[in-house]
Amino acid sequence: MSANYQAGGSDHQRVLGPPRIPQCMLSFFLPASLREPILGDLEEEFLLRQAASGSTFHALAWYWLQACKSACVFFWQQRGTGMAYLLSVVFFIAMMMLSMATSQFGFWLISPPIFIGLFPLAFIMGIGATSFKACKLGLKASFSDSSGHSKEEIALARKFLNVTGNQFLLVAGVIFFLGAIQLLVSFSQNPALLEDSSRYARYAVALIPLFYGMIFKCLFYSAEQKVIWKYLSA
Amino acid sequence: MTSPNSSREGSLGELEHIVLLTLVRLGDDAYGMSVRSTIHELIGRDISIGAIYTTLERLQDKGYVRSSMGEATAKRGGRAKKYFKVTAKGTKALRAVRSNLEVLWQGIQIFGSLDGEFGRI
Repeated sequence: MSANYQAGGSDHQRVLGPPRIPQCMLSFFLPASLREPILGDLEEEFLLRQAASGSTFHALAWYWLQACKSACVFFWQQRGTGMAYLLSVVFFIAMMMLSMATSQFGFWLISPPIFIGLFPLAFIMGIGATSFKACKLGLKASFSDSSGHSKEEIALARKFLNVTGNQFLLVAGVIFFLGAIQLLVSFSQNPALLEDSSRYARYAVALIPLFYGMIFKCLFYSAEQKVIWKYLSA
Repeated sequence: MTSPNSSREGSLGELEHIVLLTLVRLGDDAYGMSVRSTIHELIGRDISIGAIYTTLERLQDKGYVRSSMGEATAKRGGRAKKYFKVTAKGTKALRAVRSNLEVLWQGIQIFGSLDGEFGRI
């Protein structure tokens, strides 16, 4: 059982502390200003209930129920727009997949080598240009609604989202030029390829990095706007 | 006809009304858990602590209550209490709701048993 025993007493008089899992869950969902009073209130009533009924099971069940109900109350309030952002990203990707699936060209837009070449490089360069703290703040601020961030933290988060979004576009541009140069070199070495109808597919593949870069720039741009709006409305 | 209490400024939701009245009743000992257990004892409604605090925060935003942090005790795991007190604006809102309800209830009575039909006197 996920609860911590407090020291003292015989086995029959052992006092059980509140369960850790719902405590952690609540800590995650509660706003910073209410974390201390709500967790304190729950712990106080949990101990009272345990002492009054003599049943740890009932006190634990009550605590779990309160934690779940309260987490639901604060879920949309705290994480609402973060979840909306996440859902919009999922929806965006789902729509892209659907359009690819229904087109006659299939999933040619999905290119794991280009993705692997672009994503880690741009992301690490974004962290390098700002800081790891800025990265953490940027990602946290994108998916949460907590208004407990200071002006400096919001500025750091915004900086990371802005710089990393631009890095995606720049790295995508570099990969695109690499692909284009490689393509031109291969055409010059093997002129027969110019007559091949597959040359259009080669052009298309060369454009994929730019497509990925724009998608990521779009996602980071909307996250940055969300952070700015959060600061303005705080 | 417009009554003196027709302004939306003095409007209170049902839970806000219940919580505000409980705060008045509890006086200086009004904090999340005491509000929750008093409501449960008096009217039998088991409201989650989260709902109580969101209501209290909303009332605070409206200026009907003010809060202050209390002492941290061992039985609360070293965490402080957050006390709430009704402001003059909150008292005014409660009075407005009460007088509005009294006007609405005038001339209405319940026929027969408690779950019987309503009707005009």
